[in-house]
Amino acid sequence: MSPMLVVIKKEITDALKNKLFLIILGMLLLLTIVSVVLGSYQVKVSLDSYNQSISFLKSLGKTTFPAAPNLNPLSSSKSFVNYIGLLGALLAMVLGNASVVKEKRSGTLKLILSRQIFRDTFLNGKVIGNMILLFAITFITSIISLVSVVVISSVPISSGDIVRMFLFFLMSFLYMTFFLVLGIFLAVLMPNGNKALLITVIIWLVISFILPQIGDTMDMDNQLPGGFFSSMGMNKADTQKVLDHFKFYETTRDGIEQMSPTKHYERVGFALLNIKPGFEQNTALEVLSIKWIDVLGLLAPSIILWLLAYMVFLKRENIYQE
Amino acid sequence: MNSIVVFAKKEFKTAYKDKVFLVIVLLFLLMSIASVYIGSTTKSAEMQAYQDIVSMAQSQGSAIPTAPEIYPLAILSNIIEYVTMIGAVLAIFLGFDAFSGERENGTLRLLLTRPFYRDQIITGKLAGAGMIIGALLSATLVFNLGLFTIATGMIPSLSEILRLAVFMILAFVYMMSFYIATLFVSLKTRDRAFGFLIMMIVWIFISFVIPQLADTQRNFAYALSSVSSTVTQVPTDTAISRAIELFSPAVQFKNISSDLLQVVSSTAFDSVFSIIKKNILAIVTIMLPTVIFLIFSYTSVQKENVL
Amino acid sequence: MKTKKTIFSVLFLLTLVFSFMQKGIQVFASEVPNITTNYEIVPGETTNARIALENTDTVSHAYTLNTGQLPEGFNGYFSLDGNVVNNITLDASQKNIIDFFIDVPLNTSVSDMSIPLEIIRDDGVKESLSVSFTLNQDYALSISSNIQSLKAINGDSIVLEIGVTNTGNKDLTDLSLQVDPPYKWIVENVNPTSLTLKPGENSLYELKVTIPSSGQAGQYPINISCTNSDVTSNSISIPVNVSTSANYFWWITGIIGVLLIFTILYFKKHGRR
Repeated sequence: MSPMLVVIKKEITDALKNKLFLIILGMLLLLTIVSVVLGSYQVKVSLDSYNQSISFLKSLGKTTFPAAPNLNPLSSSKSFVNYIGLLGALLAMVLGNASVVKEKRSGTLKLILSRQIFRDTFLNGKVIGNMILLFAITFITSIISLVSVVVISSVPISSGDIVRMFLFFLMSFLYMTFFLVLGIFLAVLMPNGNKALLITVIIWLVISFILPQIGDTMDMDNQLPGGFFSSMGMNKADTQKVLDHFKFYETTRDGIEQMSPTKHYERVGFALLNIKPGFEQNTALEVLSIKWIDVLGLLAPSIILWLLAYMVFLKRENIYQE
Repeated sequence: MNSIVVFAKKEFKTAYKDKVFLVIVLLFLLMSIASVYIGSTTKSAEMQAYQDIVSMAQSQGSAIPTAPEIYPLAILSNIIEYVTMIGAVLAIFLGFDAFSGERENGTLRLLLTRPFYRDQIITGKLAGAGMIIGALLSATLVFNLGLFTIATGMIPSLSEILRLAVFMILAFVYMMSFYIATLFVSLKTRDRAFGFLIMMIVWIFISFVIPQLADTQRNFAYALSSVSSTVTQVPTDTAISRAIELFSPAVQFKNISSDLLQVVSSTAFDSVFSIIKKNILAIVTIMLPTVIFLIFSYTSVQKENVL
Repeated sequence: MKTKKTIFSVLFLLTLVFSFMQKGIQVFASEVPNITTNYEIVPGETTNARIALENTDTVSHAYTLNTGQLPEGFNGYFSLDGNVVNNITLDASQKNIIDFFIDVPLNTSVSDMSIPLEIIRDDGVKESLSVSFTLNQDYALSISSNIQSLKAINGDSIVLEIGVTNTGNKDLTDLSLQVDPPYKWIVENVNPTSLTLKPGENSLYELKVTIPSSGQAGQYPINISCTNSDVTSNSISIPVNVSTSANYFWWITGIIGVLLIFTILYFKKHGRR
């Protein structure tokens, strides 16, 4: 059997014996079920609330009403975006870090590297083995979501919706792969495995929370409930005149958000799940072609980190010392 | 008492030699500075936008809208997020190898052969962590006050300083609650990384998952703005959403802090005492796990299997 | 007869709110026993008639307000103190003024119509009247665009041509384009800023809109209408498909390509082990 396949098999069996991995996985699956159930329930509740608001507006003599809420069955997976962003990323980081650090600590890395296996092959086996695991996890969660949406919400789901859902879970897989590769890269780079894990978590914090938080804070319209401009009684034309003064501010704000794979995942995820309006008429593949920058924002950092991991792993002499 | 001081000093020195910890401290300070800058820039942008609106309204001869209510301390409000996120993680970083690190290095056995009581070790570590977190929050308070004065040109009044001080005390209690929980996990687990990740999972649940679950139970009523005739969604609490939030000290901390830092306009001019009185249940929710884990830590350290 | 008399008397005030004429036209009221009233209505506008309802009985009564069948596209409803009502309760000798609103669609072939209104008291007594409406086609405006959809890149400016036609019988002056672009899009220029059209005349607006470079890729509608103090045209929506600049793709691919080449050279230099 090819050495890489051996490494892949070993990765999968090791992960399934990892207590922490199983705990996080169990929580992720539980949250998936809970979020889809609650999401389906929320769809029904929001429709009732909308109808009540229409009656209220009519009682004020209004004749123009806001559009009906999106009775989109895929929107019940909205919370899943957040859970993948948190628990999914943590799961991938744990896998990535553990795959290298456990070999160092148990002394098996020295043994494996003395065998007839190239370092890059060994690394490929690690990455691919863990990617297979992550793919299996996202596939299982996608099946659970699909079945839950069909059974619980009773909203009809088309073949286009099914394709969108699977593509969304593919994006989740790509997002988790980034953190997997990040975990492996830092475990290979730093001699101390625990420190590598801590740094990985710090980077995750910066990417997933701090950069998006800065982006949100810099968006003026987010500062007051209902929007700053509508609280001023401004119509769109007046708002545009004012915004014209803040172009540089806006470019900086967007630049900060673009550095976050979490933001890219959120954008492509919301477009696929029809949570962001404007994509209802597009097919799933059309959505991906429109949102190609976000897909690239997920893929490119993983590829870059993978190549850097190759170079570091090849060069380091003390790689097996912890 | 001397032994407690010795332990506290040791914790303090060890923490500040750890590069990873220093990175997080720096991140915390930078983010709080950045938050003051961003907050004041955004408020200035809003005031500038308001001036533009007034000029436009005057040239069109239409009614001038009332000025937006901008409260001084609200400029610092982003620090609430940073304490909830980075502050909690910082406390976890401090505590995750408090015991498991000593155990792995073999120094725990050495310590226990010395004439210290075991509870003094816990108290010493708590005191040390308290000094670190207290020093950090004091530095943040001084920085924020200074930056606030420079950025806005306003000198905070006594009541505003009091609100800020009470907020910092609350932030201290919040961060210490994470430290104490992490200390307990460190006592119980053999593997440092495992203990750290368990606490990260707890943090994720408290700070994100529980609030999101509560959010799904809110009613999203449509609110009509009589000025602009626009309709926006405004979430309103339900009994279920409030019950779910009770399980999250992060949400309770955010609620009290929002009142203290004038984020909520209805309590912007209330006295500090009335705010504390209004949020007494939230304070208990934050303190209760702290006290429980503290008791568990003191009892666990007495057992043989702590080695 | 006595019953009818004691039950209630319906006084109809002639209050015309002609929004197609000038604002602030004098409102006058008269008690007219004649129950047929005529109003002028304008396409795309809302007109209201004011009806005074008095209960001359000695006990309180509840009244149900109904409208008859309206032509397609028309919407009619009663309103009291700003609230849409279908029922009203009056105490003995109480009088109330009710508004009857009628929304007129922009495009309608109806020129004259008569709407039956019915007021039914809780004990079954009915009172009916017909209100006549004459469509005033003096002021009517229509806009159109040949553009089905547009493609653009973030940071670009797009130029749209909007055709406008005076479909009424009178001149329209000071016509201006009302543009509702997506959030953070900037309307750079509208040419001309103001237009005058004779009946049957058409013209063209040129509209320049800038898409922010920070905008996300997607489909965004620009809603446009044309208006002056007398009339508002139909609203058209032009979808704009915004995509991200391909430069980002080339830059990122370039960086990955350079790194890949560097990795291969690195392996060649240090040897694969």
